[in-house]
Amino acid sequence: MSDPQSPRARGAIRRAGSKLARYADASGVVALHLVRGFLEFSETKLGAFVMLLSPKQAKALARRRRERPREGLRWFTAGESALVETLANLIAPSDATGPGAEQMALLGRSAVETVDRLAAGSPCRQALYARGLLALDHLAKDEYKSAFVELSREHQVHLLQCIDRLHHKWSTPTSLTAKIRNRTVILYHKWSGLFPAVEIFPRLVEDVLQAFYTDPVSWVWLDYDGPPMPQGYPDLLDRRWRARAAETQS
Amino acid sequence: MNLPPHKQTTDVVVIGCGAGGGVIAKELGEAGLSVVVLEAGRRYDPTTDYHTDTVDFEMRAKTVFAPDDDRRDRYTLPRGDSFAYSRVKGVGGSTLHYRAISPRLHESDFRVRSEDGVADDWPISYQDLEPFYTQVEYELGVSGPDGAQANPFDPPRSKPYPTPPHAFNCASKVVKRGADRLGLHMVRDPLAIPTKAWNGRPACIGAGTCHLGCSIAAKSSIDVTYVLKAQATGRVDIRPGCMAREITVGPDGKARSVIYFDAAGREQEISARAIVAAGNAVETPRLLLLSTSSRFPDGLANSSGLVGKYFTEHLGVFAYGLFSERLDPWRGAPSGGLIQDYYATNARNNFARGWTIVVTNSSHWPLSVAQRVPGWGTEHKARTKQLFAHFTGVASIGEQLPDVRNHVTLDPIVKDNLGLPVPHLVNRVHANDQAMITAISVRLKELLEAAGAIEIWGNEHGPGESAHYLGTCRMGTNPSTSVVDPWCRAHDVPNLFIGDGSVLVTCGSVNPALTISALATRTAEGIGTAFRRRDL
Repeated sequence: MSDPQSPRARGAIRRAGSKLARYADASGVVALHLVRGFLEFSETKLGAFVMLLSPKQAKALARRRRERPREGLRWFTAGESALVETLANLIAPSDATGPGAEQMALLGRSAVETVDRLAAGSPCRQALYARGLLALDHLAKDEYKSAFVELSREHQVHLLQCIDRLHHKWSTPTSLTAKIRNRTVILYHKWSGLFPAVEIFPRLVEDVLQAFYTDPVSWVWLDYDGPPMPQGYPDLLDRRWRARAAETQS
Repeated sequence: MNLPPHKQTTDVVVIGCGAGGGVIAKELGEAGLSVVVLEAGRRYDPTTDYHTDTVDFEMRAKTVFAPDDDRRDRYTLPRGDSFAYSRVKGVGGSTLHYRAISPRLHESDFRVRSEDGVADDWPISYQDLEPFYTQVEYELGVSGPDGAQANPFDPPRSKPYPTPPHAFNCASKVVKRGADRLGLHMVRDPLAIPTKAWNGRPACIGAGTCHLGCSIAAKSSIDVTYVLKAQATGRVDIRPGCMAREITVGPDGKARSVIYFDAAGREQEISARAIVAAGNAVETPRLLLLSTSSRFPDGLANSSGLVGKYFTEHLGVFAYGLFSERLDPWRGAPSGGLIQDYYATNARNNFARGWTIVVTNSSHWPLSVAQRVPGWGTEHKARTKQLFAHFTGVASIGEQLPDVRNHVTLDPIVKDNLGLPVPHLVNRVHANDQAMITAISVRLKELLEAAGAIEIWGNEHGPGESAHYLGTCRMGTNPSTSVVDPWCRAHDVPNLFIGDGSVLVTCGSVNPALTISALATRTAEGIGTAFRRRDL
């Protein structure tokens, strides 16, 4: 496999991600109906077979459709929102470098709320999230006999790292045989229920980064003085003055 | 129910409303002609459409120019190629998105064959175009350096720049430090962003959102400059959402009408005494190739077989440097200066022609930086923190030599949202280009090192990423080796003109928008004269 740090590999990953994103964002009423129909279809036995969902997954998805969004959210259920919150705190952690997704709720909208808004606006995202979050939880139960949110942080990080590695492996095949092997493995994991967890991961990272880096918490941490309009940026002298004031305070 | 299309006639139909079409529309409107402009994209309102004033501006503003229907902007490539074709459809065209860098071509760019023995000479000279360059610069209020700060490589100018240059921001000063050490002449680039109030528009406030759309209309995109003036004449009808499908030819061999899909998707036909195709170097040949008839079985104005051939772009190599000091590169105009020391052919090189280096301070906002960093979690955060406000980029605009193997054709299978065949693009770098790319990489690295970069990355050629697509309906005096004459009139069809970057014989090594507008002004003058002489 090529080095995932190289621009080419990054480009390939981004392209794979943005391909999904392009489909996800090309939403509309028609897409909404299609996806709804598709979700309903996937709950039937035939549908589960066609989509390669395990019966357990299909049943859980059907259950999910009957649930209502959590109070204050538009689309995530209570269980999902807890899981997304945990994931957001892993993807943009609050650590020695500075605050993370956890702190966002203090100043404004929490990470879950932003991701929820993104999901509510796009039926394709909803399909990805519904299946992916479910699969992630199943994976946690298979590996550690516990729900993802209840795992220790080390185990959570370990699981995500595994998923991340799989995603890299599947999205950047190096040869034709690798491509064929990947396809077969993916087909198998669609049945085993692992694939949706890998499928959702790049989208989840993208959404959480979007939420975190368009929030005052990260702006203060990075010392970015936007938004650019309507005034442009304050004068450089003013900035230096602010920096000096901050220094004297500390 | 199929109603016959409403019969419409006008003096001139202009197809496309960008740096070429918008200019032609205004000039012809002011010359007293009735003009209809068909623009495939929509009209943008700077004050309400560009969401660059909110905390989530990076999420909202980045999709503003994306099409409603993804199929609209489809294109295909040969298997295995990676060529990113990007453009903006809308009233104003890609100038809605451009960073407004507006240098002129050099005198040598018009004499490539006679000076370097490669490519072809233009049928016109720099002196022929100079008055039109000046005219466009004053219309747009181009800001640029004069006197001691002037670019020593600039071609002769009849008038100084209309407005004074922008200041260098921190990031540019750091790159300039490197340029000075190497003895290069880094100067402030001419920008079509006035530094003082110009034609009723405010001066630039340095928000740096040029490519997301300028919500105060300080950036001189065509929609807030030429298009407004065109509409003020009362004779120019701008029609957004109208996609031309075919140019028909009458029994006299002249172009008769344009068939197009209007904003509601209905087919319409409009006939005109003269027709100007100004899509861009991809859309114009696409339209001509779509317009087949018994007289022109290979596409309109294509007796030479060269419509769509010589598809050229600029060689863009992008390199980034990390610096220990804080640069705040998002302040001020995103294009932070240019270096033209490598512009001319150098006998010591193993290739002909040269390149311009531009400092690119665009997209350094928090989310954009975070998205550059692969991964997630603590490492991702640490790297983002390290990069943010501490890196900047330099890019090349290298001259790709026109090559007949690079071309635009129609894809035989894939269709767009209106059912029209999408363009199939072939653009590959050949020997001269590859040698130049290698040399550029060396020079960019050298520049960043001299500037004191502690880490350098990128430095790779991005095919198509220059977003400057040129040369597919080239200009010339010989009808068998060119598509249009020196006045951009098709050799084969006396009332068909081409008003965009397709007509460029060679692409030079500067951003082409100003040249396209200057050529369009000249073409408009030609059309006006022809109308006065009752040629059309």
